[in-house]
Amino acid sequence: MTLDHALIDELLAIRSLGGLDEDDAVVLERELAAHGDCAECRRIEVEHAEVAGMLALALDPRPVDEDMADRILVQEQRNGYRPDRAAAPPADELSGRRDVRLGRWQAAFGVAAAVALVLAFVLATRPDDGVRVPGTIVAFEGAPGELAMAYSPGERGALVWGTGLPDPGNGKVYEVWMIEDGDPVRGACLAPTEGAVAAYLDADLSSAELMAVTVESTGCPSAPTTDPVFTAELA
Amino acid sequence: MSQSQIAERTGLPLGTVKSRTLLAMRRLRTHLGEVSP
Repeated sequence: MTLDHALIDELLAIRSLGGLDEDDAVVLERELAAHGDCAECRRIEVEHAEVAGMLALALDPRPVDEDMADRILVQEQRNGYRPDRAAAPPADELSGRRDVRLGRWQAAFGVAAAVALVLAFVLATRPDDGVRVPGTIVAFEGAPGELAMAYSPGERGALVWGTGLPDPGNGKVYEVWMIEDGDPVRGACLAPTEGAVAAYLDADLSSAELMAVTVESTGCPSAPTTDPVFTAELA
Repeated sequence: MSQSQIAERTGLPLGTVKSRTLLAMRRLRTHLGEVSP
């Protein structure tokens, strides 16, 4: 008899990110018990734990306020997310197993888990075309607040998000720059909502050695007119 | 943040949140796996 692992796969994915509700936790335990000594169940569990671990290691654990996840979701909806834009089924299948490194990710998981679940969900709602799931996350240094960017080295595009950012002022926005050979190249303008931003940066980062953020007019000038308030070195 | 909280705050059915979380994990696995040692 071939057992169906669809429900177990779904619930283990959510559990690995710390988002499983109590009633579904009961359902999951019941399903796992029904499968008994199930190698496929263990394989699925290890794979989800591994992804959660990679996220935890990629994210630099740091304190965030309780409303950050809400603000990311709200901002994402304002950026164009539509509930009826259903994601297509994945064409790719899970690949081979890797080392689990459970000890490391459990230690590093912490605060990053809550943000990771929201980030993962936001990424899942985006279409495949032109949007890459990032592999490297860097934190900006500078002004009060938290600003971070996720990107895949050598690939176009990045996801920028932040919280607790100071109001740039009336008629002002934050403008992101890629610094290439010392010259600023315009990236995107970010208008925080209650101090939070979450935006996809559709730009080529392959030649940038540094990212910088300045406060500019809403016209988003083609060259910075003020000194950076945030900077981040790229790998 | 739990699955039900995401469903509540996005207005999506809980089942959609679950299926998209699984989709996200699969995409993350594919792409994070490409850049991880």
